[in-house]
Amino acid sequence: MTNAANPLVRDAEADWPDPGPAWKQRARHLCDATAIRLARAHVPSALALLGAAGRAANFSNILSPSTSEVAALFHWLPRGDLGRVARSIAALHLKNRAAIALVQDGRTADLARLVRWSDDARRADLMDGSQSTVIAACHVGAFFGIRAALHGLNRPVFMMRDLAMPDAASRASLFKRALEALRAGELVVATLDGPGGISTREVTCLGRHIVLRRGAFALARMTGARIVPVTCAWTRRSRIDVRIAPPINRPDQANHALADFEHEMAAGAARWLDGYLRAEPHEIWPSTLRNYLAAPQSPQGAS
Amino acid sequence: MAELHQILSSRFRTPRPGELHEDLDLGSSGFGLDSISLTELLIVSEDHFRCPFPYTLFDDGPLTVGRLVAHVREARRADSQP
Repeated sequence: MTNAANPLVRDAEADWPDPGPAWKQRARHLCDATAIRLARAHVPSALALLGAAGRAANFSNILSPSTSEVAALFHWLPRGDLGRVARSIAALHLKNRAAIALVQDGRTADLARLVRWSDDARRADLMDGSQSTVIAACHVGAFFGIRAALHGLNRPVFMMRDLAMPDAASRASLFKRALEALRAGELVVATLDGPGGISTREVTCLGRHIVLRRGAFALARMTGARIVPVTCAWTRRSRIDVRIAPPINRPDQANHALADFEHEMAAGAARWLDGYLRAEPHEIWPSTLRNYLAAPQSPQGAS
Repeated sequence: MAELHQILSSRFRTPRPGELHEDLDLGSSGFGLDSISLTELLIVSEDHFRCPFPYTLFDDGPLTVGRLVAHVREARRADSQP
């Protein structure tokens, strides 16, 4: 483990990191306030404007990531694509700040109007109340789009967290509520990565040793629920495209020790995330990119 | 208390002699259970004691041996009332 502040390598129960220096928090608040002011006029236009601002700021080296950071993680990308991917990641960052600000401002319904489901059959399957389902979310793409996508659906949804849980007692309470929600037939959304919570054993993604959060896998083990990865992506017209992956392969529980069952599911989730980010490198969050770069490389290298 | 000792031993770890007392926090600063294990303890206890262990047990500070035992006593008392 190389960096105790990196949530992708921490293996103990971890809390959310310090939000950073006061100037950074003020800059964040200013960015959020501007985003909300713009969004009050017209959400898609505000998002398009913020996306353009992010690209311009990245081109001017004001906003990360650099092309060398992108090249270090996605080393198979052609040189000509690096700048475009870096600019897209910066645009994603500002659009997501706007989405977070809207959710925190109680305007999830505004985001929900932007949602487009890419696969109706998989959407219907997700809404099928006869199947116990944990939706696995990750900090990629339009992460808060998942909350927006599930807003106002017919099936009850329990969001385990897409905002910080401050301590172990809050997380235990939340975990118990998630369990009860699954047993009551609700959809449960659990986030696989990011700070706060208990980690899985090491898994490999993008040629790096990382850990995921255990919650989704422990729920699957305790309730028999399937885990379905769902991601959201901003479209060129600042809509939110919801993408539903096939369920993570479930190992035979009878033949596995508790920890091995969760590890196998976590390894399967990491393989899915690896495939997604290799196909869509511009969907990675800048903070996630930096955390991957700080994570140890697997012996096989970033093949 | 003996039943709790049995549950902890079979699912998590055997308590050291004299370790289990009313004020012992079952969480990471005491017995050492993390947030998922604390929840599993409630699930196993629900099966064992045949009464619900709601998430609100986490709402009033650390989950201690005393609070867990008191919850079982309370549930049994409520159960025995006509």
